[in-house]
Parts: sequence; structure tokens; C-alpha cells
Amino acid sequence: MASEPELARRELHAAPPFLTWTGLYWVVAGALLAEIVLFIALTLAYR
Amino acid sequence: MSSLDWLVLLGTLGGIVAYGVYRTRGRQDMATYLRGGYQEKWHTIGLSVMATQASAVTFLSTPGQAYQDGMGFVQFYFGLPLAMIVLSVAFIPRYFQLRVYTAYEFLESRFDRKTRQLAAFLFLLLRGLSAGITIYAPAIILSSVLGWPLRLTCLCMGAMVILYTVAGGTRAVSQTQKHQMVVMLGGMVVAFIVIVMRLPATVSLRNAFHIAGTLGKLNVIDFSADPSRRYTLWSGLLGGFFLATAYFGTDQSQVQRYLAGQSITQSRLGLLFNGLVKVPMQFLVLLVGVMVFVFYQFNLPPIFFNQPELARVYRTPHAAHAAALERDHQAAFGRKRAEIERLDAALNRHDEESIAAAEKAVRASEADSASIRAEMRQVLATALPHPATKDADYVFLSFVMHNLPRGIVGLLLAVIFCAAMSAVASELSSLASTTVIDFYRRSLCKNASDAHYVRAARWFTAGWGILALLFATFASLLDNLIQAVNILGSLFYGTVLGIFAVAFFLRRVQGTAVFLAALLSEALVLFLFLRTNVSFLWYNVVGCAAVMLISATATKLPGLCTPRSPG
Repeated sequence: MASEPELARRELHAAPPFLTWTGLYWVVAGALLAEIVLFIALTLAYR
Repeated sequence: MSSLDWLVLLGTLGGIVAYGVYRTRGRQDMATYLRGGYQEKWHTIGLSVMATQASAVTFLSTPGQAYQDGMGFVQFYFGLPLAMIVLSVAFIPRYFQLRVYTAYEFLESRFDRKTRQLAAFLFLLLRGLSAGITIYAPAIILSSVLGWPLRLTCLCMGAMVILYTVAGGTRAVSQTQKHQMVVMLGGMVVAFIVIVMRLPATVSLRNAFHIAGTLGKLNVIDFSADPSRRYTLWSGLLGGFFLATAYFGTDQSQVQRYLAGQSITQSRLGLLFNGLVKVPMQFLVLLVGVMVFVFYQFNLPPIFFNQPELARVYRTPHAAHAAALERDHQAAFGRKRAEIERLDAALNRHDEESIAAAEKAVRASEADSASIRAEMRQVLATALPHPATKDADYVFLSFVMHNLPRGIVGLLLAVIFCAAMSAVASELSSLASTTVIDFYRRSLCKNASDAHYVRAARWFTAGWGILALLFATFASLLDNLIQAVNILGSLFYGTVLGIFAVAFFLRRVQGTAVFLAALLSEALVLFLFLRTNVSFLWYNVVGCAAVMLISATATKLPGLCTPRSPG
């Protein structure tokens, strides 16, 4: 059976249920970038 | 309000509260009562974090802000998704490793007790005062528009929140917030659809956007580098990032939400969900305000949305002037509406020359209307001893009460109440946990039983709730204090974030250095506030950077703040 520090270490490095953590961070940052681009387009289109 | 609206309002609020109490019934230990027993999944955490941030003012004032100034406020949230990433990488693992109840416990393990209690004290001060405002601010608008007694409105909202927060602790808060947030999001989507459907048949969504854009309401992005401008792309990205990191990473009302997660994975996913959804949600709330603006291009808006305030003017010698302005306002609206209809027709014909001419005429007639409204605000300021001339807060509720169908009115009032209750519940729960863990258990009553601390937490929750209610009840006597409380948050967040940033990233810096750096940085932020016109979003950047820089420099001074030798 794994020790408590080992369990804590495993939990710390547990992968998310989809993608990887780095992949998820890119999704969040990419969504923000897409929103900003969309808002710039909206500002320019309807000024 | 119709019986159907009452049914929807009371059914929604009562149902959510009853569900929260039911789900958390039974005996609770300290880990369950203060940390939610590590049971929450990512969707509950994500919605709970969002509900904590979204106070009633979000749904009352934000559409009104878009109605008056356009969509620029959404830039304020641009730093938030990036902050969620940083918190997921750096903050959550540390908090989970140490199994802390509050964010400030971590500071003692890293520095010392004085630094922990300084940060905890600042939190209690700011959050304790703002809990009262969170009840009072929507209550004054609701009571004014609905004609309900102000103190009774405060009491109803506050009593319900105190009841389920005391009974169920942080788990009840998370469980109710999940459903409250669903009501809030659903309510705003319904509001948007209903408003668009109430526009004239000839006005397509595209034409509505064009009309709003012509009158400067779709100015989402501002590239200006002027630090005195409040909402720009740069202040939103950089200042907003620091503010969001401070708020979500060091404010116990938020930290408590994701400490309730089943695991690091669930808490991280909850925060990333918030990072994905927050900006679109704020955009939707602002867009609702813009659509209300377009609606009022075809339907006569009141010259001043805070009608009870306007009625006061009619009881003064300035009544004749006000009546003349109302007549001018109606005439100007008639002219503007004719120009808007001309623009709409030109848009439908795709006639570029007519569109350009109609846009020019529309802008000129809007300038006429704006000058009449400005004159009315002047009359208010002259006629009344303490005039409430900030009308934006009343736009959305006034629109809902007078223009939306039965049932939807009740739903949108439920949205506002849900927002108020969810924010207050988080505040009370976090105030109680910080009081118990960082002061009561740490310094006053060190070795009592688990049951004793749960009982103490219940009493502290009720105590903070009653204090917030008293503050809300008498807040009308303390206008200047309210203004001060609103500013206080932005004055201290940067410094508190700086302390945490040093704890995470500058390993050599120890307690005394960071404590002194925090005091000096706070003095610098106060100087900026008192002597310059730098926008408040930048205080967070300056405060945080100053703590890091000064503490790192102080650590190098021989004898004063030298780091402990390893081992």
C-alpha cells in the first residue's frame, strides 16, 4: 500500500480526465485570445 | 408584481435554500463545516466561485453601465483567465499539501504568526465591512423600485442567508450557490432573448448592433495607454490579472470555495471552468444592457430611471423646470426615433449613402437627448439636499418591472436575490472560518475539541451576519463610509498578493522582511491613491511589485532581515 506522502505526490501529479494540464491551460489562454480578437472585430465593425 | 412573479421568486429562492439545508443536514465536524469535507466536484466549485464573485450589483449595475457607457467594462475581466492558470499551477498545490483551512494559515508555515495575522486581519476588516454593503447596495435599489421598506428588504435577504449558512456551513454555501448560479445565467439568457423579441419586427439583431454601434455602445476594446483611463485592454490584462490573482488566491471567501474540492484535480478544473466562462458571462450581461438601450430607442425611456428621486423634485420649487425638461425629452425622443427608423430602413435596403446620412442625424439627435438628461441631473443636484444622480443602477430593474412579461419579472428578481445571497453567504462563511482558525483557535482557545470549534464557527457566522445586517440597516447614514469601503479593497489587495507572491516565489525572504515590505508598500499605494489620478486597477500591480522588490532588497541588508541558514 502506498504511504501518505506517496499518495499526496500522486494526487499532485494526477492528470485531468481529458487532455493534459498544459493542454487545458492553453485552451483557457486560447479562449481568452479568441475573445479579445472577436471584441476587437466587434469594436471596429460597429464604431 | 403579479401572483405569478411572486410564485416564481419565492419558489426559486425557497427551493434553493431548502435544498441546501437538506443536503447538509446531520452532524458536522470541523473539516465538513469549514472546508466542505473535501466532497465538491469541479462543476460545483466552478459555479460556486462564480456565484461568490457575482453580487447583486453585477446584475443591477452592469447592464446600466453598458446602457450609459457601452461595453468597455468587459476588459476588466481579461486578466481573470490568466490568473486562474497561475492559481492552478502555484497556489492550489501548496494549499492542498498543507491541508489548510484558510489561506492565511499558509503564511505562518512560510513566515511567522504576525504576517499570517496581518493578512487575516486585513481580510476581516475589508470583508466584514463589505458584507454589509453586499446586502445594502441591492436592497436600496430593490426597495426604491419595488416600493418595499428598505430595512425589511435587508432583513429578508440577510435572515435567509444567515439561516442556511449557520445551519450547513461551507457545504451548504457551495450547494446553494451551484443552483443560484444556474438561475443567474439562465435568467440573463432569458432576458436577452425576451428583449430582442420585443424590438420592432423590422429591426434584426444585426441592425440592433448597428444602431448600438452608431451611438458608441459597442466600444468593447480601448487600446489607450493612458493610466488614468479606468478600463483599457492593458489595465484589464495586467491590472485585472493582479487583482484576480489577489482576489481568487488570497481572499478567503474565494479560497474556501476551492479548498472544498475532492482533490487538487477537481479544484483546478473548477477554477479553469471559471476562467473559461467568466468573460463570456460578463459580455452577455453587458450585451443585455446594450439591448435595453436599443429597446429604448424605439420606446420612450424615463428621463431619469430612479423615479422616486424624480418625484422628490416635483415636491420642490424646481417642479416647473423639471416638467419643462420632461416635455423637451419627449419631443427629442420623437425626433430621434424618426431618425433611428430611417437608419433601420436604410440598413434593410443596404443603401450606404442613406446609412451614412442617417447615422449622422442619429448621433446629432442623441446629443440633444443627452444634453436634456444632463440638465435634469443638474436640476436634481440643485433641488435636492442629497441627490442620487447616478442613474445607471436603476436602468435594468426599471426596464424589467415595466416592460417584461409576468413570470419573467419574478425570474429576474430571483436572479438579483440569488446573486446577493450567494455573495453574502460566502462572505459570512469565510469570515467565520478566518475568525475561528486564524485568531480563536490560534491565539485564544488552542486545544478545544472539534465540536467546540464547530459551535464557535456557527456563533461567529451568526455574529458576522448580524453585524452585516446592522451595517446594512444603518448604511444610509454612512454614505461616505460606503464609498470608502468600495475603495478599500483595491487599496489592500496588491499588498496582500505581494505577501503571498513572496511566499511562493522568493524562497530566501523571511517574515520580518516581508512584514516591513508590506507596510512600506501599503504607504506607497496610499500615496498613489491620495496624490495621483492613477486608475485603481494599477494599485494591485504596484502594491504586489513593491512588496516583492522591497522584501528581496531588505533580505540582502546585513543583520536586519537575513535569511535563515538551511537546515
